[in-house]
Amino acid sequence: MDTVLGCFAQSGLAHQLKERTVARIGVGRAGVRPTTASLLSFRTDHAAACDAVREALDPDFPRQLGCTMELRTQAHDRDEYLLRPALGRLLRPDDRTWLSRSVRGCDVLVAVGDGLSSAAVKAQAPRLVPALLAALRDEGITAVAGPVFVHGARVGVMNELGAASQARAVALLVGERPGLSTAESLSIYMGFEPREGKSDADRNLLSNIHATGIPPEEAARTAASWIAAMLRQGLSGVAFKP
Amino acid sequence: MRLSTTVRGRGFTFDGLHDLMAKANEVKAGDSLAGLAAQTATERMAAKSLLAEVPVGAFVEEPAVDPAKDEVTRIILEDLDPVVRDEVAGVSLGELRERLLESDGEEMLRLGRGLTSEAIAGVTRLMSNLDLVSAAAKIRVEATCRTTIGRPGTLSSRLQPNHPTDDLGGILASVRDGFSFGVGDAVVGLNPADDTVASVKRVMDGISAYVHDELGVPTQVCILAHVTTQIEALQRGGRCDLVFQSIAGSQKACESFGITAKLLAEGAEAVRAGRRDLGENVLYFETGQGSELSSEAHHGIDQLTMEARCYGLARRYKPFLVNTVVGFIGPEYLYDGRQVIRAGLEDHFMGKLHGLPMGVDVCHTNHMDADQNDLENLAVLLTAAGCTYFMGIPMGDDVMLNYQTTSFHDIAAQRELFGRSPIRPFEEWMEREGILAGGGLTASAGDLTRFDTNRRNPWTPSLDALLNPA
Repeated sequence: MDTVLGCFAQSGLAHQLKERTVARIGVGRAGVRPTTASLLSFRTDHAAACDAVREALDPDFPRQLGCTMELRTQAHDRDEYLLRPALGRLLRPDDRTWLSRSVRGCDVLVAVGDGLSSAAVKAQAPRLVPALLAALRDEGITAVAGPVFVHGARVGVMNELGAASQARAVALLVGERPGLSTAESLSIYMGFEPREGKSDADRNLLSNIHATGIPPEEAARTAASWIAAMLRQGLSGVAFKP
Repeated sequence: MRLSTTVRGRGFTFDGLHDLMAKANEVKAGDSLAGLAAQTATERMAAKSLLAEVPVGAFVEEPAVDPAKDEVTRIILEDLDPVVRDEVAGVSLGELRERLLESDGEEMLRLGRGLTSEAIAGVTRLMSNLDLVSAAAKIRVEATCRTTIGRPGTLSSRLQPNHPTDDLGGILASVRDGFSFGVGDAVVGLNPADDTVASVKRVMDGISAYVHDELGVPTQVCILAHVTTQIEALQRGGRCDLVFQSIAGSQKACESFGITAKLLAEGAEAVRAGRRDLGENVLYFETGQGSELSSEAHHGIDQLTMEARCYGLARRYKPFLVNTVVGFIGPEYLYDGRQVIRAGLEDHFMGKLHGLPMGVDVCHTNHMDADQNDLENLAVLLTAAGCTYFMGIPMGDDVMLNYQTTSFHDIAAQRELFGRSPIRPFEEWMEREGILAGGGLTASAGDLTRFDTNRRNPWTPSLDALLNPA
C-alpha cells in the first residue's frame, strides 16, 4: 500500500517518512538538544545563506558575463542596501543619464542584479544569460539591449531601467533572499514598459532557478516566450496570460 | 503636556504627543526608515523623560489614528472599560510603569481593560527588557477552544509542519516528528503553499483526520490561509478548529491584507457553526512590528504603537491564539538580534496587558544580522516572561517560508529548563504514548516511527482518499 499510513507499519519507516519532505525530521537528539551532526549541518546552511547576502562579487564578474555596462543604485553599501530598500530602486543620476544615452529604445533590456544573493548570480547567470539571449533570438526578438549589470539592485529598479532606456520590456535577473536549502536561487522579473509607478502587480516572475529547481535553460525558454507574448499583447503583470 | 525639555544643557522640543512617542522608542530600523526616530541617544532620553509625565487619558483624547477614518481606533476606544478608563485617566505613564510593576497579574489585567493600545505602547517604551519580562510573567491569560491554553505552569507550542508543495504525506511526517517531541498542544497549524480553497480544504481535512480521528490527540487544527479562503473551505464541509488571519494596526493596513473587522467576526462564526465541542475562543491572529509601514498605512506613527493597536483590535474577538512573528519582516524594520529581542519582549508584554493569550514566533531571516543564538536567547527570556506558546518546526528550519524559528528541541529544552508542561490533556495523551513522563521526555521521545497506524479507527477512508488523490 503506497500511502504514508501504509508505510507506517513497515520497516525502514523513518527513511520513508524523510523521503516525503525536505524538512529536517528524524534528526535524533542529545538530551533535549540536537545531535552535533544535525546542529553543525543546520548552522552551516545558515552560514552559507548569510554569506550569500553579504558576499561581494568579483569585480571582473560583470565583464566576464558579457555585461556592456555596470550601473549602480543609490544604495552605497550593503548596509544601506538592506536598510533603505527605496535606494536600491533608484539609479544614481549619472548612471541613469549614461544608460539613457547608451540605449535609446529597444524591445528588451536584459539586466542582471545582485539582489539579496550574489552567490545566486554567480551560480546561475553564466548559464542563464547566454541561454536567455539565445532564446530571445529564437523568439524572433532582435532589438535586445544589454546585458547590463546593476549593483545594489532591488526589483523596483526595473522602472528606472525601463524609463532611462525606453525599452518596451525589461528582464531583470536577480538573486533571491537565500533560504537554508539553497543560497543559489535566482529569479527573473519581467515587465512590459516598466516606468515610474509600476508595482509588483505589473510584473511577472519566474523564481526558483537553481540546481534543484528550474534549470537555467528551461527558465530562459519560458522567460523568452513570456516576453515575446508581453510584446505582442502590450501588457504584463496580473492581466498577462502567457 | 510638556513638549520641551533640556538634558545636559541641550534643549529638545517635540512636535506633539506622537512625535514624542516615536522618539521615545528604543532603536528600531523601521522607525528610522519612516523618518520618525530620535537622532541621538540623548534626544531619545529627553523624549522618554517627557513621555513619563504624559497622563494616560491623553491617548483617549488623541489616538494615533483619527477614529473618524479608522475602524481600528474606534474598536480600541469602544472596548475600553469606562470605569477603569476614567480611574486611570490622570495617571502618568511613569506612574503607570511603577503601578504595573507593583501590581499582581489580576490587577494588571484590570488596569489593561481601561488602557488604550497607545497608552500600553507608551508605557512599554519606558520599560527595560527585564521590566517587560518581570511584568509580563505575572499575567496569566487562559483561552479555550478544544482545550484550554495559558494555565499556570504550562508552555505550549504550535506544531508548524509546513511543506513546499503541501504534500499531505510530507506534512504528516513532520506532524509525527513534532508529536514525538511532545510538541503541538496549542495547535497543529500549517501555512499552506497553495492558498486555493480546494487545496486548503484538502490539507484541513487531511490533518484533522490524522490528528483527531486517527491518533485522537487533544489539540487544535488550523490552516493559515486567508480568512476568506478558510471560510469557503469550511462552508464546503472542510474541518478545522481555529480560523486564522494576519491583522494590522490600522484600517488601511487591514485593507491591504484584504480584511475588515466584520470579516474577522464572520471567520469565527464559520468555524463555530454546528460545533458544540469548542469553547468561546476560536480565532488565531498573527501580527508583527513594521507591517503597517510596509503597506504604507502607518499614518506617520511608530511601529511599536501600530503593533499595540493590533492587540487592541484582537481583543475584541477573544482569540485562542495571538502571536507576533517578530523577526520575519526583515532588517529594514528590525535590523539585528538586539532589535528582535527587544521587539519580542515588547510585543509579548503588550499583548498580555491587552488580556491576550500571547505567543511569539521567535524567528529570523537570512538577510538580517541575527542567528539561532539570538533566537535562543529571546526564547529563554520569553519563557521566563511566561510566554504562552512558541512555534515548533523540525530543527527550526521552515522549508516553505524560508525562515528560521524555534525547533521541537527548543520547546523540549525550555520546558525542561523552566519546569513547564504542555496543556494537560495533551500531556496525558503523550504520557499514554510513552513520549513524556514525569514532566520530561522519555527515552522513546524523538522517534517519529513510534506512532502505530490504524489504532483508533481500523482505517480512515477519508484519509486514505486524501493521501491517494485520484
